[in-house]
Amino acid sequence: MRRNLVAVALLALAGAVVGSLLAWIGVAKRAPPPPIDPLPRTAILIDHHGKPLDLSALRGRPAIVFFGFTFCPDVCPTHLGHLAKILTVLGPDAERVTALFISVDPERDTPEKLREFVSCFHPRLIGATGTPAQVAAAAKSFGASYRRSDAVAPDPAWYLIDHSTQMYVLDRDGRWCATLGAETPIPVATDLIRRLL
Amino acid sequence: MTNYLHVLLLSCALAAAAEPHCDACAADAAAGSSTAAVAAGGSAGSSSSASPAPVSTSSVVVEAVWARATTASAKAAGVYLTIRNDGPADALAGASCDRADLCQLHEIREQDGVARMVAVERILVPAGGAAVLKPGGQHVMLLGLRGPLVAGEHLALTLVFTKAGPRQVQAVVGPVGAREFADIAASSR
Repeated sequence: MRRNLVAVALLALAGAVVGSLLAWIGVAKRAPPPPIDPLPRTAILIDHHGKPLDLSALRGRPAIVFFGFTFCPDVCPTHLGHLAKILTVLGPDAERVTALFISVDPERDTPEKLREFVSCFHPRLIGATGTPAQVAAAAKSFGASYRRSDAVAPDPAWYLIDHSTQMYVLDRDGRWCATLGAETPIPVATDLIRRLL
Repeated sequence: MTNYLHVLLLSCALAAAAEPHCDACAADAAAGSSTAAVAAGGSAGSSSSASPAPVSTSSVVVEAVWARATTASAKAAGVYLTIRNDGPADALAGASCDRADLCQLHEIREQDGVARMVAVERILVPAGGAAVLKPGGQHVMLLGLRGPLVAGEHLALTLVFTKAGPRQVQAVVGPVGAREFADIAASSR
């Protein structure tokens, strides 16, 4: 009996150490955390099929949310490629996770363009856009920031957008619980997501 | 830590990169060559991916040149590469590519979790050192793409160095989610 108790205590201790290590790696070196409950009650976007997407309906399963734009040649493909690997390694578990890419470039990112873009990375990835006001509201609720940058491109059509690079992880209740980066090791990310299922 | 990540990326690349999900990127499986170096001095017209080693006519050697596949309607893409320099300090000062209207040298600067892309005039290659252009850092930016980049194909570029002059190189196009040159080699195995 006593040996059992010791074993349980040791197991709990090991779990706590591993858990905090995972949390530390996942959250370390990140910008100020977004609000605890980032899902707005009434933020409606449009998904990559052109259908309304109610952000508050994300509750019920864990979600990974990333803000970017399809014109982005570097940061977005890097992060979405990493997200795709996370989903691939999750395997069947990925079907119980929402993966959402919200465009901060509603001017250029139509549902068609998003569909073309997200399908390149993973079939589970959902693209979302909206009116500039809808996108701004969604970004604000997550604490994500973005700003159009015309400094680089000589052609106005080639503008870039400076944007947040965090991938926000929400639990089943829509509460922010971790942030992933492109450098977060895949096993750390998949462990974290599986604990939220 | 870097080694750990490297191994992880390599091991995950096989699984992730081998899954074509859409028409525009479906050529993933054909991607890449196992060549560790695609480069240099005067081999412009060569589309062969079998060149065993970099050829150099000066102290600057360009290798592991790669880009990612793009969607059919994409207008921008980044090209990544490694420049080794056994001689005096040099600088990459420009690039051109007949697949795009314009090439610029870009650098990502991240501050407070926000990434900003800026154009730079030159990328220094220190004497006896190297410059590594990689995702999240520096890249050659292709703007006004005249067509999509397709995984598995090769892309001819001219790089212009301040001292070494122009160099023709071939970039291998990898899967859309590639993170480094090794991912492309892994996806073709």
